[in-house]
Amino acid sequence: MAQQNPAAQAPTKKRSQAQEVWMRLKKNKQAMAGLFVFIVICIIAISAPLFIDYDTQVVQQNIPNKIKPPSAEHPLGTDALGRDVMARLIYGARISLTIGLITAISALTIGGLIGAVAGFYGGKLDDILMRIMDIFLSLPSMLLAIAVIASLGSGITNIMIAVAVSYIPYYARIIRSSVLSIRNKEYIESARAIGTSDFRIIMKHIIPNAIGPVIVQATLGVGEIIISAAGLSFLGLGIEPPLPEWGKMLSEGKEVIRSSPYLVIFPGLCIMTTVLSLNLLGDGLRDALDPRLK
Amino acid sequence: MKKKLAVILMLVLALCCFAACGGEKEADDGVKSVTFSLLGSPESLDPATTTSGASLMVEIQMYNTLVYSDGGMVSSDIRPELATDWTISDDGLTYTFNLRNDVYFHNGEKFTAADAKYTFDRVMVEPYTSYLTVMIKDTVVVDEDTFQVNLLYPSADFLPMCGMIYFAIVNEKAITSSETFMYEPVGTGPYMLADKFVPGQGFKFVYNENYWGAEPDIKEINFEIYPDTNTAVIALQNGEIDFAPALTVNDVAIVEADKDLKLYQEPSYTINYLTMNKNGAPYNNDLVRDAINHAINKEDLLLGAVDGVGEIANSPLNSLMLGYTEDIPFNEYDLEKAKQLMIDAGYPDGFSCNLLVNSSNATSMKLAQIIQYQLAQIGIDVFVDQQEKATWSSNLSNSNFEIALGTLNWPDSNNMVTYLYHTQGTFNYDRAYSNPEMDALIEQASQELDTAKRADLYEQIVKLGHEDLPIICLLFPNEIVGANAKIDGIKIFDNTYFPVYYWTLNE
Repeated sequence: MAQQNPAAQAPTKKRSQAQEVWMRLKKNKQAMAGLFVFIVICIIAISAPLFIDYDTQVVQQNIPNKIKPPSAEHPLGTDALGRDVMARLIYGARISLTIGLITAISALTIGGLIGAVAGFYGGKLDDILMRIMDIFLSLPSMLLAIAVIASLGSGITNIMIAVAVSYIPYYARIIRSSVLSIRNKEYIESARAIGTSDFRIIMKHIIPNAIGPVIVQATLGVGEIIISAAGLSFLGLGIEPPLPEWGKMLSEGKEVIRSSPYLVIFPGLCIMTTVLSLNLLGDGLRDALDPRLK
Repeated sequence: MKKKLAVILMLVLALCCFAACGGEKEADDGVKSVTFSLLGSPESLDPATTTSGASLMVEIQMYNTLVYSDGGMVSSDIRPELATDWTISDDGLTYTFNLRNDVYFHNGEKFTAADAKYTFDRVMVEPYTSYLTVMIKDTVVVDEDTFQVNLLYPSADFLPMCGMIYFAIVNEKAITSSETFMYEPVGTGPYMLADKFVPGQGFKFVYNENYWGAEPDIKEINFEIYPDTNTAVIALQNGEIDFAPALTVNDVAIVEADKDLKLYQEPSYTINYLTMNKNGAPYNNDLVRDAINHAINKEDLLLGAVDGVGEIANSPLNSLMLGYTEDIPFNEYDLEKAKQLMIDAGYPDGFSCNLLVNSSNATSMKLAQIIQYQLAQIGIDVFVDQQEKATWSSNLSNSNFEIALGTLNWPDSNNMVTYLYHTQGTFNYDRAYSNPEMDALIEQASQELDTAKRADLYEQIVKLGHEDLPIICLLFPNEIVGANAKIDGIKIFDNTYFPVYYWTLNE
C-alpha cells in the first residue's frame, strides 16, 4: 500500500485496493475456511438467545442430574451442577467473542495511539513512551494480567482491562515501527508543506497507511486474547459465576477429567476451533495485504 | 543431512524424557519405605509455628507429645507417651507429669522436665498457638523427671490439648543454637530428617535408631509434593507413591476400582459454613438470615459440591463430637417459607448481595455457585466475589464482606463453638454476633469437668447458635485417603494425623 501514492488516491481507487486484497484473500483456501468458520461461530453467538433460553437452559441447575454423558436430551452432556453443556458452550461463545473483540479493539486503539505518537514525533517523547512500553513488555503478560485482576478484583470488565493492558505494548510497537517507516515519505512531507495539522496527518495519512500489519496483528490478537482470558478464568480469576465462559468450563471439567473427559474436551474444542479460524484468517490477511507477495 | 540431524536430536530428547521418568525409587536394599504425597509443601517443621495441614502430617512422624490422644481431642482415651503417668490435684488446677528417663533427642540431648517446660512456655507465647493456652497459669520443673503445670481454672481441654502436635516436645539447645530450626527440626519421635528440609521440595525421613519405643516396620518415609490430586492418583496407581491424603470425591471411584489400592473415608471435622455480617443491613435482620437459611437446600449442596460424600451439618459439631444433637433440623429448605420471610422482612423484591469466597478452595467455589442459584429463587441477586486465599481471609478478618463462605477444622467442640459463636471468637468477625447468654454458656462449658454435663452444655450452645443464626452450617465433607493396599494399620485421626509408626508394609 505504501507503494501507491495516497495524495492522488481517489475514493474509487481505495475501494479497488480493498477489492484487490479481497481477491487475493479469496484465493487462499485456508483463510477462507477460517473466515467461514469464524462467521459461523459469530452467527451462532449472536443468534443464541433465539433458540436457547438463558434462565432455564444456561444457569438453571439440576443437581441430581449432574455429570451425565451426552444423550438425546443433552447432546453434549451435563456439567457438575447438572446444566446443559451445549447451551453453556453456545452462550460461552458470546462471552469469549465479546472479550476477544472488545479487548483487541481497545488495546489496539490505546496502543495504536501511543505507537503513532511515539513514532511520529520521535525524540524524547518516543524514548519515554517506548521505555514505558518496554517495562510492560518485560513482565510476562499473564503475570501482568493476574496482577491487574488482583488489584481491580474479578469480573468480566476487569478481565478485559487486565488482558488489554498486557496487549497494549505489542500494538504500540507494531504501529510505531510502521509509522517510522512512512513518516519520512514524500506525501507526509507534502502534507506538512501545505500546513496540515499533526493530528490530521496522523489520522488521515499515517494511520490508514500503517494499518495493514495492524489488521493482521489484531486478527491474530483476538485469538490470543480469547486464550488469555480463558487462561485467566481457568486459573479462577476473572469471570464471575454463573456466566458460562469456556476457560472456566475447562477448569471446572478438569476435576473430573479422568471419569468424564467430555467436560474438558468440548470447551477445549470450542476454544481451539475459534482460535484456529482466527489464526488462519490472520495469516491469509497478512499474505493478502503484503504486496511483496504479489 | 539436516533432516537426519533433526531425527537424531528428537531421539536424544525422547531418551532424555524417559530417563527423567525413571522414577526416584531407590534400589531395593530390603529397607521398607513408603512414599507419602503432600498437597502443598510444609512451610515449617517447627510444631509451635505450624499453620498448614501438610506440616501437621509431617511433624506427627518426628515428634512426641507428653500424652497421646487417640483420635484427637474427641475421645477421652488418653495414653502415656513421653509422660509415664500423671496426677491431677483435687481442685483440678495442678497437673503433675512423671516423665520417661530413657528418651533422647535426634541431636543426642537427653529429654528432661526442662525441655517440657521450654516447650510449653514457647507455645504459650508463640502468636499462632498462644490462644490455646489461656487456661495455663504457669509451668514448673519439679525435678529432672517431674513436670508440673498449674491452671487458672479447671479445664477438661487441658490434658487432650497436651497431645496436640503444637505441644510436641522440642529441645531448647536445638532451637537456640540454630537459626534454621524450622528447616532442621529436632524431635524425639520415631523418624528423623535424613538431610535437610527445603520448602517446596520433597524430603526424606529415616528411622531414629535411638528411639525409645518399639521398632516400627517401616524404616523410611519419602515425602513428595503433588499439588494436584489428579496427578497424585496417577502416581498412586503407578506405584510412585504409597499414600495420598486429602483426595477429592472425583478420585473415589478410580481408587476403589484399582485392586492394588485401598480407599479410606472418614467423616471429617471440617465444617463448611456461610457467615453473614450482622453489622450491616440487611443481614442484621433476623428474618433475612432465616429466609436465607430456608432458601438453601443442603441436600443439593452435599450432592453438588462433594458428590454426596460427607454429612449435612446442622451445627458446627459433627456426629463424632461432644454435644452433637439431632434435635436441630438438618435441612430446612422450604422455598415458600423463605419467600414469605423475605416479604415479612420488608424485602419482597429481594436485594443484591456479595458472596465472598476463597477461589482456591474447589468445594467452596462449587458451594458458592449452588448457593447463588438457590438464593436467586427468593430474589437475592448474588455476586460471587472470588478472591484468592490471602485476600479472602484479610477481607474476612477486616469484616469487609456481606456474606462469605468459610471452613473451619477443629476436632474439638470447645474450639469450634468458641471460634464461631463467642463474642471474642476469632471467626466471629468484627464481634458482629454477641449474645451474653452464649458467652456465658461457652465459658461454663470450657470449665466443666464432667463429660455428660459438658455434652449437655454444648448441646445448649449449638441450639442457641441455631436460634440466633449468625452462621448457617452447611456440611462436613469426608476425608478421603488413597493408599497402597499392601499397607496395613492405616488409621485416620482427626484428618491430619497419619502416624506411619503404626503401619506395616506387606511385601
